Amino acid sequence: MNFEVSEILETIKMNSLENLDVRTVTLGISLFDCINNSTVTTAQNIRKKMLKHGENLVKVADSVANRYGVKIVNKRIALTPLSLILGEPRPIEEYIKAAKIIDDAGKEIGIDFIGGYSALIHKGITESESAFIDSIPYILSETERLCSSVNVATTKSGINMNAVLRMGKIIKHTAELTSSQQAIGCAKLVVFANIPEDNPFMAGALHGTGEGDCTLNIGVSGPGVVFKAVQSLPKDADFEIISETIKKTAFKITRMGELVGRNVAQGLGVSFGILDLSLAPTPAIGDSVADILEAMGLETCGTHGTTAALALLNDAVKKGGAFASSFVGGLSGAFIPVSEDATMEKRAAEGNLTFDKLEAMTSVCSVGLDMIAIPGDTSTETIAAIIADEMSIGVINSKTTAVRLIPVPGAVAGNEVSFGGLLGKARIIPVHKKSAEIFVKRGGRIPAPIQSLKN
Amino acid sequence: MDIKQRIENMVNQIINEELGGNIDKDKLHSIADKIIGELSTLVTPSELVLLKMLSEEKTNKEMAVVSVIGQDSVGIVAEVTRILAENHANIESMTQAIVSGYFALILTIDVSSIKVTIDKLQQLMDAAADKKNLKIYIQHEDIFKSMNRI
Repeated sequence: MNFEVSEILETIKMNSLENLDVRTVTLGISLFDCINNSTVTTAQNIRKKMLKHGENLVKVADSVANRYGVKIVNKRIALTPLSLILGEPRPIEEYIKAAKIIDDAGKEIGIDFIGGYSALIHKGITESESAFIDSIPYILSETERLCSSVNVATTKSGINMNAVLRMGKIIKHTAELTSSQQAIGCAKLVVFANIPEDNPFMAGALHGTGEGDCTLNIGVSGPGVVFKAVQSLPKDADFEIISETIKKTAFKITRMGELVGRNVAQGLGVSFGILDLSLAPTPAIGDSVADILEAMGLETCGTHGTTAALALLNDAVKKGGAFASSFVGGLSGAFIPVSEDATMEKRAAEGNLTFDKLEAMTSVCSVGLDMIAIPGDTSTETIAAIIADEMSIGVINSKTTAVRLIPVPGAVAGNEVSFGGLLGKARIIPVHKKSAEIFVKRGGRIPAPIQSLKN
Repeated sequence: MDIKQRIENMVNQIINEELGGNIDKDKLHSIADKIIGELSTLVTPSELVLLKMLSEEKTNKEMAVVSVIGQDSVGIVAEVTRILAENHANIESMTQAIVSGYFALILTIDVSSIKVTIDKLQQLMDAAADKKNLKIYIQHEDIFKSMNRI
């Protein structure tokens, strides 16, 4: 097959200069056959299964990456929610012991994160889940790779406000236990509404109960490529042209991801699950979702018009990507993690991108209030109220939303904190000071919305 | 039955009659390909296109694209082709262009019988690229197919 020089150079430019990469290949592993009465034995069984399926993950992914000249940034493993696997309530020490065995298995394989220290408590909390949830702050402070996600709401069941308040406490506790590292534990903890069962991105990746034994999911990236494409358009190009340009670019990005994903799955001898066509930014210059919004004509991301620009971007990415992949899943939309997006972080630090605007933006994109550093003295109840707001956006709009907040102990609005690597740095953003305590402490569930009655 | 199949059957039959016994399958494909190459004067243009497509479909070739990008200097082509030749990578096509003031050399190579892995070939190219202040990328053709063709 003959290719035009321009086609070849465009691909090389995307990979080398515009930060196009496969953000993650995530191997989902079912753990139901690992269950034993002893947590340590269960953890050892999990270790064996992780090694059995995952020991070649890094090697195969690197080999596929070299074959196509594409970067695969992260190799990860997602597990069946461990609250379902670790069984009856245990003392905290037992959870820690098991978690460390699993964490070490990840180190042996050479992966950077393991998702699945998770619980699904959107309708109620069992005793086992209660004990498990209490262990989350300890696990996040004592392990390196394990990530935790907790689903507290679904469109079908409504919002479990007991779970919401509980997660406010867990986030605060995690911040305290990792206060010496600027509450980094909270960067590994996400609270969800409508959690997907096949999301390859951290910290929310897990291997859902409806999944098979072992599946490879893939998350592509490429805000830099979309930015360059939008930036190259004339200032008076209308929205049809912007949308078409983003669709075409998203198509190419997604096709690349699909090719890489299928080859890694084949190399590992496992089935290919889904491709998540999220636009995931990194702190690298030129790899920002906010840059795309500004290239559309906003003076700063966060000003009026930002929500509309993001809605257009998110929709065009989906339309371009959906055609390019056989199985689209996971989160699939633009991410707006503040600390991980250099321009978004800058606008938040300037005061141009406020907490409330971020919340509005989450109603038109995946995922939610993500990687936002807030003052250390933010109360448990305020955090719970923030979670409740975000969950309601997800529940009412039948979409995934999530909250990953970092209340940095001792830090006040305007302070800068750095988390390192892909997690980036952030300025502490102020939150509303008026109390929602009476509201969030009412207890019980907010009923499922009328739009859930579809049968 | 397609045209290529008919030719192959014919060749097989002739060899069977003249020499006795069946011919090795790879040899048969190669003879059929050669006959197809000579058929341009014997068949209609549309049949020829069909033959060519069938012939390409059944090839065992595995193609990769070598892209050499950087500032023009003496001996770039010589150096790159020397490395390819030493490692048995057959060059199928070669295009040279100046893009935004930069030199771009694009080679399509058959890597089905190379002596080293593509990773190793990339390392050899990297070493050559460093000497001449260039970037050389070797990528399997599927990446371009998937991103640019439906």
